[in-house]
Amino acid sequence: MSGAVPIMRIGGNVLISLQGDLDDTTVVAIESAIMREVSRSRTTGTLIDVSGLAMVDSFIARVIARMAAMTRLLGAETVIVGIQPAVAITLVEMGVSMVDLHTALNAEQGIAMLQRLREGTAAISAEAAMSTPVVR
Amino acid sequence: MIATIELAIPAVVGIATEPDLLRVRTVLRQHAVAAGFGIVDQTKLVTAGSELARNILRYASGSHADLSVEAVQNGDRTGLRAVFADDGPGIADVDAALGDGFSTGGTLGLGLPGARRLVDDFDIVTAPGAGTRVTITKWKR
Amino acid sequence: MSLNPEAPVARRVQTAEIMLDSLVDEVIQLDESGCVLTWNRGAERLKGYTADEAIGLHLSAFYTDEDVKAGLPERELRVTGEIGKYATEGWRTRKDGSRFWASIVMTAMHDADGSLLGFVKVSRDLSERRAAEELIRRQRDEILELSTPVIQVWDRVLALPIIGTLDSNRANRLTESLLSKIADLQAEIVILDISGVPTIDTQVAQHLLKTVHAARLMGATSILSGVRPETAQAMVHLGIEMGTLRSRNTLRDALQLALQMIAGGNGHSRDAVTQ
Repeated sequence: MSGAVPIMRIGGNVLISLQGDLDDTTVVAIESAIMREVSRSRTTGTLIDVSGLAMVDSFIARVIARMAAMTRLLGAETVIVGIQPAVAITLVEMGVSMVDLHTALNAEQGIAMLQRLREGTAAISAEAAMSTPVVR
Repeated sequence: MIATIELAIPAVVGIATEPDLLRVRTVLRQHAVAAGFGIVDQTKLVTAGSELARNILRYASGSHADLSVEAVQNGDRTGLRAVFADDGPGIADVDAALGDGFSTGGTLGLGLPGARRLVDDFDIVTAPGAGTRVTITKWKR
Repeated sequence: MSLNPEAPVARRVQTAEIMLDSLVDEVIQLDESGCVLTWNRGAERLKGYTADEAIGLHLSAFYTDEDVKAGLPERELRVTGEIGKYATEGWRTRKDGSRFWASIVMTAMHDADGSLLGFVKVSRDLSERRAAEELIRRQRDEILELSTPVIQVWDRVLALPIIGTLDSNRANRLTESLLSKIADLQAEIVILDISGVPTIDTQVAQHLLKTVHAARLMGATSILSGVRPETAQAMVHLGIEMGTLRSRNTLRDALQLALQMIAGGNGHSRDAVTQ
């Protein structure tokens, strides 16, 4: 699969839709494009829509997980949306855990989740700014 | 007069370049659909095949390698058998490669344990300098 | 042709014989000691003996060796003679030695002063019917399993009451069905009710956890319900790591929790570990 990867912006979030059949070079190229955009736009949220993927193997899963970790370092949370049932079952069966990833059913729920994560982060930052230590 | 050309699903796919990885997935998907596999089993087979094809591209590049697929039968069970064969360097320690946690090449290991969990029968014949031959079988449920 | 009592006896007998032969079932007559007197077409079809071969044979010729050794034929004849009518089912043998499952009704015939004249025996091969019944039962089971009871209990909340034992095949089917429904109905919360599962062993627990995991990948949170204290204990004993999986005693409690989670702006992302 070649050609430009369409990266969109929705309400301050970066959204990208992965579709069709992706070879490894394309996956890595997409990862680079997203990281560039997240860095450039200083966004606080990234949405990766994989509802168009009929298969996610260990490499693709690895890159997605890597992306989520890296965007977090840049100050943005990442939510994966639209993992298909057959793909979910296959990933679990393979033992690819992806436990640290935020996931949502669709873009709408994903954006809501990003909002909550932002608010949660804001609350933590606000508390950290106070001098008295917080005991949870 | 219109002539209809029936294209059979390829039974053999050479594995040498990245586009071949996509071809392997497509061919396996086509075979799985033709064999009447449900979507979950199709996906498992294609994913397992993707892992094995990637292994060949990563660790046996330059060697002669291919995937061959055939329909199989055992009593009243029908299924698909896919053989990934290459004449690359071979795997020195198969047991380690098959055990979870074996990591090499910067990916999640060789993907063998994962692929093995997705299929019903898994067979690997390999030795240093003797190439590798992985046979996976998935039966129709 | 007539069975009219006014008709000549010969005519009535002839009619009766034609009727007998048209019957699919075996209808035979035995003398008082149990030897074959008459043999109809149905008997020939069922047992393989022609009338010539069968007439004179004792009833025990059609029983299995084990039954003969156990004295079953004699017992059945005696009981029929005593009570008048006897219905039973059992294995019988054909001329070629093969077995079939038969349904039998034997009637004792007595003459005017009550002495035993003989028996009339009607038999039917139930093997085919049993095979057909088995097939229907198997198909019904499959249908029951296929029509998995994934219920939408609320907007975006699904419940799956799991009843009975879970073998690998059934567990996979349930999981696939559940995940499809999650996608179709855009469900955010899934309640897995296991109160109907008799034993939670490692395999069942692993299937459950895989299902929970896959649902999580799709973005749905799971709640386990119907978890009795013994079940929870058993799972701990088996070393099953429940992680952040929430569980409740009853489906009702689980539903309450689900509604709280939905109403509370979905604070159920993995980070928010609120119980």
